[in-house]
Formats: sequence, structure tokens, C-alpha cells
Amino acid sequence: MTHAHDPSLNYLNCRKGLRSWLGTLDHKRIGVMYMWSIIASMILGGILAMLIRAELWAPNNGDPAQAVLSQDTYNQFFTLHGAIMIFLVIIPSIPAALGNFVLPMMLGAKDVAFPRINRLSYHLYLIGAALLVVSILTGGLDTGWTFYAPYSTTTETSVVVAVFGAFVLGFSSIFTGLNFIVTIHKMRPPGMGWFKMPLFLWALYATSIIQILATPVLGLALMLIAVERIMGVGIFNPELGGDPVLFQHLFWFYSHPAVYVMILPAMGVLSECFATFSRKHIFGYRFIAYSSIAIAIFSFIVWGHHMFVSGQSQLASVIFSALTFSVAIPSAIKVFNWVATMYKGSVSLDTPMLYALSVIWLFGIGGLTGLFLATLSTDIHLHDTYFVVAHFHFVMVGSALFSFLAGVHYWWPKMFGVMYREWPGRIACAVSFVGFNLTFIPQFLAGTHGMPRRYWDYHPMYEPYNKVSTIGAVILGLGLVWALVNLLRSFGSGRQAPANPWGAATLEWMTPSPAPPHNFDFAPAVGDPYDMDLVRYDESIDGYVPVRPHPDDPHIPLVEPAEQEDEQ
Amino acid sequence: MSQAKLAHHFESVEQQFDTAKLGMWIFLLTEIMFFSVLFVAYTVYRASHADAFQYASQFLDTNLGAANTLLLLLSSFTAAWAVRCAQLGQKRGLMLNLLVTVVCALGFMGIKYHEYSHKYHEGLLWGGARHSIFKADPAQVLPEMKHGHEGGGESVWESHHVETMDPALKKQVGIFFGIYFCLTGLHGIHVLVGIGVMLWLLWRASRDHFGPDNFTAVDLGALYWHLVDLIWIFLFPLLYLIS
Amino acid sequence: MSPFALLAAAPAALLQGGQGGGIFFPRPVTEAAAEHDRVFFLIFWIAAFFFALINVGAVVFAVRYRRRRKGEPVEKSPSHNTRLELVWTIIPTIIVCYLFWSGLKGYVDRRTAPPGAYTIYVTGQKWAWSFAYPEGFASNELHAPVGRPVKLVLTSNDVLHSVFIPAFRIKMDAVPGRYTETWFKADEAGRYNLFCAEYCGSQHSLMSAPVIIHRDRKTFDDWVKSQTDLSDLSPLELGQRLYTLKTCSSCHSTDGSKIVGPSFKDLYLSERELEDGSTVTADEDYLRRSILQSTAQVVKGFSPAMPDFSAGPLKVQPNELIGLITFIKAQSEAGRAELEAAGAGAEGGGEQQEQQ
Repeated sequence: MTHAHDPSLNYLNCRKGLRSWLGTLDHKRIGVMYMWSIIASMILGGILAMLIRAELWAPNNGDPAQAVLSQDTYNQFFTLHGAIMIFLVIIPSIPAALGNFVLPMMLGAKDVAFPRINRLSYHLYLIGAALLVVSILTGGLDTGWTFYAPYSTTTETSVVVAVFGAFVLGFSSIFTGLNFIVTIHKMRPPGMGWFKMPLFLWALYATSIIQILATPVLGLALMLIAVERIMGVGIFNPELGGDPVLFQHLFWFYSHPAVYVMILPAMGVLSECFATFSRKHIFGYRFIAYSSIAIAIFSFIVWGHHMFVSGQSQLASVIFSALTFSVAIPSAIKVFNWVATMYKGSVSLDTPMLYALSVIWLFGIGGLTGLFLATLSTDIHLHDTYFVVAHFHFVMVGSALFSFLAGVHYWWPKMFGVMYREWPGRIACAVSFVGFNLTFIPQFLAGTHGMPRRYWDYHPMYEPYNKVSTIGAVILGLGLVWALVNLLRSFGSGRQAPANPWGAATLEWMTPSPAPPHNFDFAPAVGDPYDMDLVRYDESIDGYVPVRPHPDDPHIPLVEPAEQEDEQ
Repeated sequence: MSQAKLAHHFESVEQQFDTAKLGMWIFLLTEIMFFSVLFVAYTVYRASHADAFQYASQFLDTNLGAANTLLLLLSSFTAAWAVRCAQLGQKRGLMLNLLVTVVCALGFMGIKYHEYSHKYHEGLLWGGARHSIFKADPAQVLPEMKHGHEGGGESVWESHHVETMDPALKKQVGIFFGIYFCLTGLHGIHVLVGIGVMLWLLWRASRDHFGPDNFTAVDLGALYWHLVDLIWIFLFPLLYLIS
Repeated sequence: MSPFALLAAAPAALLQGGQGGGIFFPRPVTEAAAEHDRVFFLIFWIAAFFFALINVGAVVFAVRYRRRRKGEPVEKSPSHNTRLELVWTIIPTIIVCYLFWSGLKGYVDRRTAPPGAYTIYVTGQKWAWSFAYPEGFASNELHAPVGRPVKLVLTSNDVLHSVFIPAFRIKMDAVPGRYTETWFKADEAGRYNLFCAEYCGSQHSLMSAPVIIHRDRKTFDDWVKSQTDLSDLSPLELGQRLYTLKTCSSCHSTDGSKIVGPSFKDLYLSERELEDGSTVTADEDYLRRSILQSTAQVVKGFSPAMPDFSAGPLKVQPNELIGLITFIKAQSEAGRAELEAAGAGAEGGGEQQEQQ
């Protein structure tokens, strides 16, 4: 059912005004709003990080007069830094912002399965964020983002409001996951079997499984903290016969899989980038697809590795250690496949690919240092030290956030119809990369020397590491701001983006940039998502066009209907 | 009887229906995970303190629990029947079944209210509650909880010698009641939501919104109601039938 | 120091390490620590190999196959190779199995104390450690002789804490309502750090304790004797000792600085303004009440955070109470004059606690 309409009409300019945005059902607009909200939260979390690093510039010798921040302020800042960066930034970053924007288009669909629930999910995100702000204004939060009982049930800060905020954010996340699973199951176009899906969709599917199964557990565990504070139910209170370690089990049952909610979609973005920017079919499609599902499954059985010294039984620790190593294998498979994809390709070093290559390095360090923490013997010493802090920043920031930036640059032309400038983008990436390593590599060493995490003050022997780390943090901050400025400048001076600037073969590129209100003027035919021979470079538009355009729509390649099912 | 409206992003009514149904099933999955937290807490404490749980369970009224179980089973049956009526386009049958479902649910909540207020008056609460008789320090138990109540008769404090009870046992009895109130309270909230959903369906049915081609909402509402019922089917034996 | 000088100094500082113990670790002083370091470096070199492999691969491919011209033709190459992929699935699997196995022994060893170990009960409390020795006294320092297995049995009075001794590579959480344990056998005398590794609030980063390993059994026994024998101490000396033993020092300074509670400096006979606005003179009776029932008269600007010293494990005995009050008196002019007049001698003033 094609109906002719004005070709200059796209999803950005079809309706105007704030209400047309906040009340929209369009997945693209919801994705874009998520993206700006996430960037705003990231700036707030980043400012907190800078203040934390300023405090740690020099030891205070136990004297509050020498400190930049008071102890209680410092404790609130690292708690909020963690809570904001995890619940408001990294967990929704790729799935809710990029996933929302791209997923239906990759399926050639007009929207996600439940547009109203999608809008509800974004509104819940705003409410959850508002509640976190309310908790800051009504006494702050100083529990650490982990909310460990009995500290969280006894401290005088505004814990109830904060856990309620996290609870609401959890439902935002659940609804996104629910929407994606149903959309992928029920709205794939004819011809797109499971193994014809782009790998980003496999990653989002695996992510969504974790979101719907693990997030409710966190939600209720946090509600029990609130109930404990309000009514003194005692389930985690040792004085009333409760067990604080039970809270840790419930918390990590969500929060370890949550790490894969952060990293799995990042891996999906990387799979797209490595194929597109090497102009080659992704290497080992099935292994990458299965490894996403394997990671999602393994993620549920490894939570106890956060608790090797918590007082859980030795046997439990041994079992969890063994299970934890299982996650290393699918992760390694993906990295090997990405590197192999570049072999004999035509490797471009455009900004998204530069971020993707940075992640090979950063995820290499983040993933491999995980081995030390999964190993029972070494974890005893490294647990709760700066080694852990550095490890999870390499995974959550170095891998997930850098992949988010890769994805933002990659899909930016499709989102806004303009090209950012390449060279400033590349330099910003390089600056961030250097700053990141300078910030966090010294933290590994502070950790192996025994500096515990969440310390307002430290033994003077740890000063050199903290000095370098703070300098690195400033450089990292500059790089990230630079990247943002470069993206924003494209609105004023960026050249008009072609439909397919990078030469990808997935369906979101088979429609003009920015996309029309209902994504496609003409339903695209489904081919192999990594068959780069479907498109060729066209110098006149500095972009790619189908080798054999469809007679009804020049953006869409003509695909033989009798393609074999298998991708090989 | 109206036709289902096809949203712009679906190809067919069947696809739209299948999608809604899958969405509901996944939502129910998250609900099960939600409750699982409390079931895990229950399992952990019961495994380590089986005796305390058996002891505490005697304070629950099995007859009232059984009555509630029957009410919910009946309401689940009428909810299923309502779906059938909607599929066949029988408006009166649909409305009647929805009404019975709501009445059963209200009956359930009434009995629950009775049980809660009884527990509250007897002080059968978790150790941290103000009116609890299972406080770690017997001196902190409110005097009015110790010595009977207006209706006469012995208080639980007296009849079960709570004052001289083994402190470790007392703590775990408190934990049992903590879990009891969390589990049944959370379930009760779900019943309340279910009543809201059934009333909404009733209102829509009265305005001829449903028919053989358009019964998705009734179907999904009933699915949700079956889950609420199913959770109670687990709660009843785990809490009431272990003494 | 300018940022440039710092950057130049950084690599040297990193290589030199903290206390002369190499790039990564403080020097291991237990067998378990040496075993830990062995496992660490085993993983380190395996990880370094794979890290180099993927990064060299990525850089070489990115340079060798870089795009020279947009739209250049791309040579066909296979998009999968099952045998290769099985190789890079199976090899890491074997390696991680080996790593799991190699980490198992060190863990079980450090969790299970040998029979007959010298047992010290450790209690964490916001924000100080208390070590109860089998000889029947408690200290806020952890002392042990070289070569003797020491078992630590941990618990907490409030929230979670965690004992962490980097030089021994041991760590264990202190959980309220239960006991956990760890152990060590130090092979080298010296003074080491014990940190709290589980976040516990305001003073978390200051909740440390010295670990003193005596060079032989005799010096350790002498120390034990000096701790147990409190009978012939003067009240002031007793108060001085209790000031650290009962962990008063972690909240009350003697130099006028505010930690958690009010400083003892110039406290005696001063006017105290309370939470409700009334004032009271800090005489003996006030000090007695404040020690035994600290929450009754809280000074304005402080929170009622002091534990109960009138009963339970921290109970202050009558003679100890006199000692503490005498010690607090000795921290102010008025009190010192009073003590001198009484001939008790006030020379044990506020500086002594520095000489640990």
C-alpha cells in the first residue's frame, strides 16, 4: 500500500513542537529522546566523576580540612556517580536509544510491536530519573549503587526515594526488553529467518531476555529494602533473624546479568561496524549469534563471583568460579571473529570504526582482567580494590560506552540526515582513548597494591597512581566533550547525508536519511545483511547505492526471491 | 460487535493478536520472576528454620485460606468462560462472567482483610513491627498486646508463652510473618489490579467493544487473572499447610 | 608540581611500586601470598599473550588492508571457517579450565585454617576494629609472632565490614549476626596495613588498623603481658590505655579536631550546649553519664552514634571509668591543675597516644 507523499517529509519535520515529541509513538523519536536524555545524564555523572577524581588527587591524611570534599559528600558523589551512570546511562544507552531507533528499521518494519508501551517506557525513564533527583534533594544517597544491607536499611539518607526510582527505571528497562523480544519474534518480514537477522538484533534479543528475567528480581529486592526501612520487616536484618547476605544474592542475580545488558548490545554495534567498515561479510556469523545467546544464558549462573569473600559457603564459591569462566569463551569468540572480519577487507578508519578498534584494545583489557577476578585465589586479594574499579570501567565505559559512541556516530546520518566532520571525530576518539587508559591503568596498580575502593582518603603510597589517574580523567573528559561538540556542529555545517553513507547492507540504510515518518516508502526486500556486493560506491553523492536498484524505489536493492536460506 | 482496529504497523489482525498475546506471556514471565524473590527468601529461611516455620504456620487459619483458594479457582473458571463468551459474541454471558470474577475477587480481599486485622490485633507480626509480640526484647512488647483484647479470651502472648520462647525461634517466627505479609501483600496488590482490569473489561463489554473478531483484551485480562490465581495456588500450601 | 613534571615522574613511580615490592604487589610475606602471586602471574602472561595476539592482529589488518580509495573492489574471502572457529573456541576453553583449577588450591588454603591455629576474634564496628585475644584482652592492633598460624574469626556489630591485609593477600567480610573466618602465617616481622574493604559509611577510608608481626615468640609474649597486666597502672595510665583499647580514639581526638564525636581537648569543666538548646558543665558526673549513656545528653552538632558502654561486650568497669575520666581531665588545663594538686602527676598528657 504505497501512497505518494512529499519526499521532503521525514520523521523529524513531519510534526513540530514539544508535545509532538513527548507524546510521540514513533520509535525513532523515542530513540532520539532517549539519546539526548542519556547524554544529559552522562554529563551529570561525568561532573560527579571529575569531583571524585579531584578529591582523590592527593591524600588528606585523615584530615577533612585538607580535603576537597567532605567524607559524606564524597560518599554521596560516588554513589550517585554509580547510580546515574548505570541506571540512567549505560543500561539504556544502546538498547533504548540506538536499539529503539534502529531495530524496527533493520526488520523493515514501521514500528516496534507496542508503540504505547515504548512511550510508557520512556516516560518511566523520566520519572525514575526525576525520583533520583528528588532523592538527591531530600537527603542524598550514600549507600553505594549496590544498596548493601544492613547499611542501606540503617543510613539516614534518602534511600526509599532512590530505590523507588531504581524500581521505576527497572520497569522502563523491562518494557523495552519485552517490546524488542515480541517485535523480533512477530514482525520479521517474509524472507528474514533467524539467521538472516543482522547481528545487532541477535545482541538486542539476548539483552532483552536478560532484561525481562533479571530486572524484576532487582526491583523486588530493592522494594524489600524500602519495606525494611519503612516497616522494619527484618528479612535482611540480622537483629531480627534476617540475613544480609541474602540481599547480596538477590542483588547480584540482577546486577551481574545487568553487566551483559550493557555489553551485549555493545558487541552488536561492533559486529555491524566491523563488517561495514571492512566492506566484508562478517566472519563467523553463526558463532557470533550463538555466542550472544550463550552469554545471556551464562550470565544468570555466575552472580556468586561477586561474593567470594562475603561469607557464602566455600562450595558455592568454587562452583560460581567454575561457571564464571564459561562467559570468557563466547566473549573471546566474538573478538576473534571481529579481527578476522578485517582480513582482506577494505578497512576504513572512519570515526565509528576507530571507536570499534579502540574497543578491541579496551575490551581486551577489561575482559582479560576479568580472569583474575573469576579465579578464586586472586579474587580474594583483588576483590573490592581499585583493580575491580578499573576492570569494570574498562568493560562498562571502555567497551560499552565507546561502542555507544561508535553507534551514535554510525547511525547519526540516519538519525539527523547530516554528516559530522570526520577528522575532529577521529581526534576526539583518540584523545578519549588515551585519556581513558591513563585514567584506569594506574587504578589496576593501585588495586594490586591493596587500595580499597570507595575510599575518601588513602595511604600516601597510593598517591602516584591517583595523580596519573586524575590527569587521565581530565583528558578523557576533554575527548568526550570534543566528540559531543563535533556531533552538535553537524547541525549547522554538516553536509547532507546520503541514504547509505558507509556502504552497509542492512535494511535501515535502504531508506532516505533522515528516515520518512513510517521508515520506508516501499517495503524493502530482504537479502543477506552482510552481502556488501548489493551496494556500490557512487562518487556523485559520496555514498552507496544499490548495484541493481528496485524499479519502485531507488534506495532498495533488487534481491532474488530464491536466495538460499543459509547464509553460507 | 466491533471489528478489531488494525494498527498501522501490523500487516494483519492475526499478526496483531499473536503479538499482543506473546507480549502478555512475556509480561507474566516477568511477574513470576518478581514473585520468585520472595519464594527464594521463603525457601532459604524455611530450609534453615523448618521448625520455626511449622510453628508459625499454626497461627494461620487454614479454613479461611481454603475458602480463598476456592474463590480464586471459581473466579479463574469464570474468567476463562468470559473469554469463551467474548469469542462467541455472547455479550450477556461475557458480562455475567466478568461480574462473578469481580465478586469473587472482592470476596477474596474481604477474607484477606479479616485475616490481616486478626493478625494485627493478636500481634502476629514481624519482629520490627510496633504491635508485634515477637520482639527480640519481651520488655518492648506493648502492654495491650500481652493481655487479651476486648472480646475476652486469652491473648496469643499468654496462650503460647511467647515471653519464655527460645529467642532464636522467636526471631524466625518473626521472619515467617515478615515473609507472609510481603508475599500475601504483593499478591493482594495484584488482586486489586486484577479487579481494576476486570471492571475496565466490564465497562468495555457494556459498550459493545468485544466480539468474535475482537476479544484480545478479554483474553489477556483472563491470562493475567490466571497467573494471580496460580500464584495463590502456590502460596496457600506453602504458608498455610506446613504445620 | 607542574603537570608535566608529574607526567614525567609517573612512569618511574609506577615501576618503583609502593613499598619496594615490584610493579604489581607489596612484597609477599606469607606462603599464601607467594602462591597468590604465582597464580596472578600465570594468568597475567596468558592474558598478555592473547591481548597481544588480538591487538597486533587488529592493527596489522587495519594497516595492511586499509582503504586506499573509496569504492575500491574487495577481494572475495571466506566468511566463515568452522575448523578455525572451533580451534578458537576449544583452546580458550581448555585454558580457562586450567585457570580455574590453579586458583582453587590457593582459595581453599586461605579459607581453611590449620588445626591448632592461634585464634583472634575480630569485631568490626563503625569505624574501628577490635581484636580480642585468647588471653582475655582486646586491642585495636593486630599482633602476632612470625611463623605461627593465626586464625581470625570475624563479625560485625553494625553493618558489613571487611578485613583486608594486602601484604598477606587475605580478605574476608565481617557480617553482623554470623562468624566468618580467614587465617595467615606471616614469615617476616614488620608492620603492615589492615584496611576495611567493604563500604561502611563516613569513615570507611579511615577504618584501618596496624598489623604488627613480632620477630619471635618472646617479643610477642612480652607484648601480651604488657596488655593483660593492667593491675599496677595508675588511673591516668589505665585511662590512656583504655583510650585506644576501647577505641575511643577513633572518634574523639585529643588535639581539638572533630572526628565523629567531640574532642577531649579542653573538654573538662567546659560549658556544653546540647541538642535541645540547654547547657551543661562537663564535670565528672557529666563525663560519667556521657560514657555510660552517651545518647542522653548529645552535644549540639553531633549525632548519637556512640555505642553502649554500660553493658554488653564493651562494658566499662568502675575502675576503668575512673581511669577514663582521669584521662579526659588530663586533656585540659583545669583538669591538669586539679590532678597536679592531688599529686597524681599529669605528665602522661595528650601526646602519648602518638607514640605507637
